[in-house]
Parts: sequence; C-alpha cells; structure tokens
Amino acid sequence: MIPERDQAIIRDRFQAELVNPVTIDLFIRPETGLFIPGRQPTTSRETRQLLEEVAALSDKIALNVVDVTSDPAAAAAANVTEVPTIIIRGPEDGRVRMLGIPSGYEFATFIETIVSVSSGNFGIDDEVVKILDTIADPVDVQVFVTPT
Amino acid sequence: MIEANEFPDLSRRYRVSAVPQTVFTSAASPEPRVLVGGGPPERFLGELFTVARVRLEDHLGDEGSAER
Repeated sequence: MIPERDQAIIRDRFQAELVNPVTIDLFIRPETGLFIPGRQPTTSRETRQLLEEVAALSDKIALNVVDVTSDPAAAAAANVTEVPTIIIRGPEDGRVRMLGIPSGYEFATFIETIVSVSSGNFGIDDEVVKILDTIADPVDVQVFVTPT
Repeated sequence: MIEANEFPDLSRRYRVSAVPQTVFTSAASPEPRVLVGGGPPERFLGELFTVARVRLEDHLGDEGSAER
C-alpha cells in the first residue's frame, strides 16, 4: 500500500528518530465476506495491511494484532469498542488511540505519533507539561478527522 | 483520533459537522466541551483545562501566588 519511495523516507525517519521500542496494538474483526444484518463492513483488512507495512520499516516497532471476535476479553480489557482501533504504546504506555484507517493526511499523523511516542517528544512546552501533570481525573480528548 | 466517516454513530453522538472537531470529556465535568476546527494551541488547552478543572491562576507563578 505504501509506495517504495515513501517507504524509504519513513525508514530513514524511523532510523534517525525512534528512541524507545513502540508496540502497536491493532484490534480488528476479520471480514467473513458474508453480509450480516446490522453489521457494517470495516476497514480492518486494509488497516492491518497498512500497519504491517509500517511495522516492517523499523525493528523498534512491534505490531500486535488482536481479533476481537476470537479474543473479546482482550478488547474489553483495553476498553476497545470499535474496529479497527489502533493503540500506540511506548515507555509511557498507550493513551494514544486511532479509530479507523490512518490513510490520506492521517497517515502522516500516524507516523508522527509513532515518532512522538517513541521519543517522548511531543513538542509541548515544559510549562504546559507541568500544568498537565497536575490534572487529577482522566480527560478524554477525541479528535474527529477525515482522511482528506 | 477518530475517522469520522467510518464511525457515523460516534460522529452523530457528538454532532460532528466539520472536521477537525475535538470533544473533551471528563468524569469531573458533566458536559462535554467541543472545539470545531483547528486554531491556536491556546484554544485547545483552554478547553482541556476547563474540562480538567485546572485553574490557570494557580499556575501563573509569582503574580498568581502573591494573591494567596
């Protein structure tokens, strides 16, 4: 899915900027090819292929694919209710999630997020980080986007 | 981050009309705060701090602490 030229660019970027190992959990529901009423097709298959290609570009990235139909306990433990869900985990554990295929412009966001999680550098001022550290109760920040 | 087209139910729940749209929620704040569009980081942080019940005046350094 990723053109050769882009693969080379991303591989170089990962080589230069990834610091700590990153684990990407991908929760999918394999398509059966059957139409099941009330169940919409998902982008599970395409997302899996895309993430396998990204993971192959650095030995610091491990991809962990979970089939929610055969392992619902794992999905419940991670509080995953939609597929595909991508959880990007570094040394600080995974609070960054993407729901849906990271294609188009969101592909760049996906790559940036891997680099940030691995390096711990999110480009946020130390002053702001200090204030964020004082937050007691978890805050959920959901950003709705489209690939174009 | 949520792909709005792929999850119409979630998009409807938060009345997503344009992207990006950011929804901030917390157990501490009953009403979600919504930010439509991009904009400067200050706006994003403003909504985040509101939902997190962070009082910025507690963090303004000398001027802030002098009043207490």
